[in-house]
Amino acid sequence: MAPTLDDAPARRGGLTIADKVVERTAGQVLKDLPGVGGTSSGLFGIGASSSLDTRPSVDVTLSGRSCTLAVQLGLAYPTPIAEATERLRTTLSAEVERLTGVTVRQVDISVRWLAPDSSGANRGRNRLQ
Amino acid sequence: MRRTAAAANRTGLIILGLIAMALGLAVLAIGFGLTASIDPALEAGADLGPVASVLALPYSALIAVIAALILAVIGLRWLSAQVPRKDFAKPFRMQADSRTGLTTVNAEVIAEAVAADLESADGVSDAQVILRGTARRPELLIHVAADERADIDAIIADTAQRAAGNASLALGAPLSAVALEIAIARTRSRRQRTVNIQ
Repeated sequence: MAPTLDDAPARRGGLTIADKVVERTAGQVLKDLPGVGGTSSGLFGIGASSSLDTRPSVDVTLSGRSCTLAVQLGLAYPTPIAEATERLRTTLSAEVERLTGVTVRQVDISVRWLAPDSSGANRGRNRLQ
Repeated sequence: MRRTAAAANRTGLIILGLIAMALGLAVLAIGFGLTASIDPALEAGADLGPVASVLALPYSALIAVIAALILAVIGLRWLSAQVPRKDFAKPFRMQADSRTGLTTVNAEVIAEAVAADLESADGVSDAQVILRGTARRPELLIHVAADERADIDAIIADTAQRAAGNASLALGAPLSAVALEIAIARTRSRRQRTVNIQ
């Protein structure tokens, strides 16, 4: 049966997505990527640790139906940083847009640490190439 | 590996020397009566009363305090400049197109990774690395502390091929220069507690 006017999304109700949702979604997308890690904050900064198993930090700035992401992460070493972050940017933008419906305009990436992927943290996962 | 304030010291000493020389020449000129033709008051036997009267002005103490503060600031800046410092490169921008976002990496981050990579080699007890230059023309300055029974040739080869190669791979650009300094560590400063066998 063809959709009627009553089936239009605007009539069914609104959908609001908080910036925290976009942040968590982006963080999880990054965490699932091999060779990408983050830094745990610890208690008041004490006991902070970095590993490839930690979710990277993401800060979202919403503007209309689009957003800008600021990412702080760590990468496995040695990895071609420029290529890896470019691929990561493309994947992150596409996945966040697919999962939340929010368009990602820019992804600013700050690489905070580089660590050899020999600790077993990412064992079994393919290295980001 | 570290930059000291030698150039700044030389510049400061030259300026102070020139000022002292100018004052000395002025005093000599007054003493020999060469300035009397410019101003009759500036003769060898002149009364210094007018000069001393400057010190008796109402704001002389305030001016002296301000001058002392300025000299103190200059002195503190000179003192802080004496602390040797590492001159890392500016943060590297490594994005292909800034319209889609920026990629920033601090030089210290890469230097620490290279140092950790070097320390994983046999016979290396400690490594310090400074990354200079630009993202397109990076330069590595490496200081390695090797065990006294280590194979130095093997360390040099490992640094030149593996460690420098890994750094070049990470940076996405060939290294324009690699400087290696090897010291012999008679005491092990770092004791390895774990080993990866796979």
